[in-house]
Amino acid sequence: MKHDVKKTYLLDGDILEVNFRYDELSGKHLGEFPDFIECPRITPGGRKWVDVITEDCPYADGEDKTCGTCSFMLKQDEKDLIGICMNEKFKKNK
Amino acid sequence: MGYESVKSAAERMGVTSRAIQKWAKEGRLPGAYFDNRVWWIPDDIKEPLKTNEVTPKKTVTRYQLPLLRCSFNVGEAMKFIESIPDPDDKNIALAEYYYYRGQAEEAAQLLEQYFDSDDESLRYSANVMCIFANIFRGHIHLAGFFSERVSKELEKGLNNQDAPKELHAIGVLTAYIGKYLLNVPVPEVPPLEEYLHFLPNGIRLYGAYILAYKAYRERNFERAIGICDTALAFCNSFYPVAAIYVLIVAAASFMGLKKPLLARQHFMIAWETARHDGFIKLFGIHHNLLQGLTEQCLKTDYPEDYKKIMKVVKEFNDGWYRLHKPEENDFFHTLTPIEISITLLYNRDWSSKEIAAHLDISEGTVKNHIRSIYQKLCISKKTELRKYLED
Repeated sequence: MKHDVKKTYLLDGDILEVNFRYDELSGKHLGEFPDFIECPRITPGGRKWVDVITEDCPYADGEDKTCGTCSFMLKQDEKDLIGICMNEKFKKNK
Repeated sequence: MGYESVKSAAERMGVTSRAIQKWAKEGRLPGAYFDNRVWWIPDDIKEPLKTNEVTPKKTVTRYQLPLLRCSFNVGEAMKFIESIPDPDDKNIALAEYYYYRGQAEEAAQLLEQYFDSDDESLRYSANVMCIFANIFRGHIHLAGFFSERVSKELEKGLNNQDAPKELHAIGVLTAYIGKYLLNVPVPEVPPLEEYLHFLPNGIRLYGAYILAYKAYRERNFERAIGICDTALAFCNSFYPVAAIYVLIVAAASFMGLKKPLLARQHFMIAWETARHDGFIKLFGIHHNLLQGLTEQCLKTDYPEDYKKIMKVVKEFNDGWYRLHKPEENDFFHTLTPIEISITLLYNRDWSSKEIAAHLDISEGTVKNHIRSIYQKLCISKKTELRKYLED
């Protein structure tokens, strides 16, 4: 049995640690990501965290209208499922 | 060439209806056939053959797949099988029974004795059923072997002009099964629609299922539903096994139209028809098509049956992908049945909220599943998911 691993996301001065549990069926480590709709999280720079499956954003400019294809989403790595929204309209002033 | 009624042929040829019926019975009107207690006459016949010109007609001595073809009371499949007088027909029906219940091993064992039978109907039934049974058993090379065998027999049968129309119709139906259900190369055949009326009733209803499934695959959901409703409405009796197939594809088509209530209604009629005989396999092989209906309708109310169906789903998905994509079986191999349902709904632009309502789970759970799906498939965009499914 393989052990769980942790990955640290560092964006806009915010550090987010996510646990990845091992899935026997797929043989992959799967991230247990927080739900940013239920529990919004804002970076010190005022950017909100989003994930690629977030729908219904009026400013989403990608092909499928999710954050995953939106040009405003900034990710640490290309294949990450979470990142922050760089749209100025959502920036919170702290 | 078309067909006309006895009355119309009698008027055209200037004789009585009785004379037409007599000639048809004697084989003096080539191409005439008897269906549902009525004769149908080719409309290009000008006069009957002379008695000495009639060649003895080859007839079908038995029909394939007795359980699929026959009408019996729901929940009394075994009673019906016990009443079959012919021991070979009884064995084939019993193999069907095992197969529909998800007992592929028992079905395959019973069929072994008929692989090389001199009786072409028995040989056909055994070989066709063994394609599907071996997919479940995980014996993919055997499934491929029987698939090639049926294809060769099919080609031979279709080229035999002396074969009865019924056998030609079975051949065309088999080609459609190969092309649309198994995705294997088959010889070119005429449209199945033209041959449906030569098939015995239960198999004709199954033929309607194949046509509806074809329409479903072409995303012509209205047409699929139309075929299903019409086929069921015009049946002179109730054929439980074939009806389950038809109702399942109707339910799937309503899901395609995003009409979950109608989908659920059709699904539940199919389930009520199947469950008393334990015919769970038909739900397992169509699980992906049903897009969450199995979870919605059975998970809570029929937990034991649901577990058995999920076992069938796993076996079928694994076998299916090893048959068709032996080198890349990621999708069905790594996703759980509920993740497959969610994937298909999500790909059809159902929102997380709509999927949650349909499957009666929380929106958060749906999102967790979608994130898992993305990670298992190594994708990070919905557009990549679409491309993955198209490939």
